[in-house]
Amino acid sequence: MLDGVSLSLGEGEAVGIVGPNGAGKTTLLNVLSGALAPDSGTVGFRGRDVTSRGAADRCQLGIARTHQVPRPFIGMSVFENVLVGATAGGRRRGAEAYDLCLRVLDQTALTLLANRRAESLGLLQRKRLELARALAVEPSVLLLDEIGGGLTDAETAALVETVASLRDRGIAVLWIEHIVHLLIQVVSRLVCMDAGRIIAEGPPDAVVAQAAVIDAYLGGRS
Amino acid sequence: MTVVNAVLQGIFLGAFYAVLACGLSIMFGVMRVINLAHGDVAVLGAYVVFVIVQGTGMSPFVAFVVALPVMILLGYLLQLTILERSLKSGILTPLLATFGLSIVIQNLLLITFSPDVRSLGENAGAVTTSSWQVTSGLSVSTLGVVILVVAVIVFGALQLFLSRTRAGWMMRATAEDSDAAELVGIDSRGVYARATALAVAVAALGGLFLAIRSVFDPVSGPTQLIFAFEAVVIGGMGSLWGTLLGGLALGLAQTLGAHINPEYSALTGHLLFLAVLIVRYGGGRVSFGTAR
Repeated sequence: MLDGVSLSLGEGEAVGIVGPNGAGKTTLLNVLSGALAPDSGTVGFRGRDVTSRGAADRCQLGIARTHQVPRPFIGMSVFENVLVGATAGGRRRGAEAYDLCLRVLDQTALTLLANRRAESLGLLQRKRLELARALAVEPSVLLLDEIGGGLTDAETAALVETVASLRDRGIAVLWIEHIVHLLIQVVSRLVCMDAGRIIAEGPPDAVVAQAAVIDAYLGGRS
Repeated sequence: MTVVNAVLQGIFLGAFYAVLACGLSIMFGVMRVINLAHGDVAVLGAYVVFVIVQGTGMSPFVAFVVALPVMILLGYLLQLTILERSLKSGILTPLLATFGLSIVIQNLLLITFSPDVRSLGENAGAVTTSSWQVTSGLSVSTLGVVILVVAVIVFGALQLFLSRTRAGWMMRATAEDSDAAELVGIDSRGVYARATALAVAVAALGGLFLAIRSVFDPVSGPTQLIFAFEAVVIGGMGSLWGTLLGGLALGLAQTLGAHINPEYSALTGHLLFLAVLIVRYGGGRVSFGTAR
């Protein structure tokens, strides 16, 4: 459920979304990516209204996402998974597509697993593949749904670095994550949601402080 | 020698079943649709070739090439008009829709072509009657070899299409998870339409072979569907090479059964199908039931 959510995302801006389970964070991502149609309201992209466009269309325009529970194409190799993203959503052909895939696999540390069937990957590797497949689309907007959970400190640092470099290349990043200290290393704005509404929004420090106040008043809900 | 003969005949017959089953396998694999009109689509293909042969006098093989664009277009239309709408409303609706389509095709063929039994065997020329005499007791029919070679080429080409081309990757991705495929930019409507067009085209090839190697009439479809369905199930649903092997196994079972007694032909095929069903899908449940 979403209720009167209004959110804008600038080029090269990274925004984090926090909030308790059931706050509507993933629903928001579904509406933005086109997996769900809103009952009312609009989704705009670069001055265009894309509310009526399907998910495939929006992906080709440059909106890519990852799933909280990874959904790789398990019967295909890691490379083929990424290649599908590059050729379908990214509209790359031939050698260009292959080069792009190799870059993305390198960026997500999947090169050594490129020929493995996605079926044989563990959860964390599947999360990396989820990110790789989204990156292969060469998105201008990247919607990340809890890709940081369960990582070691070193992996977390690498993930933060990867997302920060994407942001610095001008990609707009909207990142849902429970691990707030991880988010605030990358995002310049933090949005706190509860029960389908945005209850706090602004610079990370201010929102974290405000969220603590809200928690104190309403009792620890997260 | 006669057993060797029966095995050879079984392989040739099986290759024919594999071609018939190929489209059914594609549609199930990509869309999880069991197309109950598949046999009728094959027979429709045979009639389209028949009309072209009657009108122009060309060889059925050339006529098939002419008919191919028509069948591909029909496949697209079938998906866009009937299947796409029914796919949205659960798994039972496509089954009912294709069952209805089966009846419609049969009756349209009856009205248009009368219930007469037809064959394109004579029009195909020497290929239907010629054979290679290997030894005195063993001869290999040219048509059988042609069908086997074409079957292997069709399955090989499909394998290459699925593993090497962009459209093939997109088809495999959609087959696995159409929602996730949408989110990496794959238009599943387009993929489904292409898969149906492909399935209808290969079904028409099956129809061509049916028309050349034996006879057909407007209600031949359901029998072809049963053999095609058995081949798909024996080979494992959704597996392409499995379908080729399933077709061969069904053909072998039928000719070896006929070798024992001509009346056993269809029966042994059905028995193999049942045995595979019980072993693969029912056996586990039976043993679990008795263990408790």
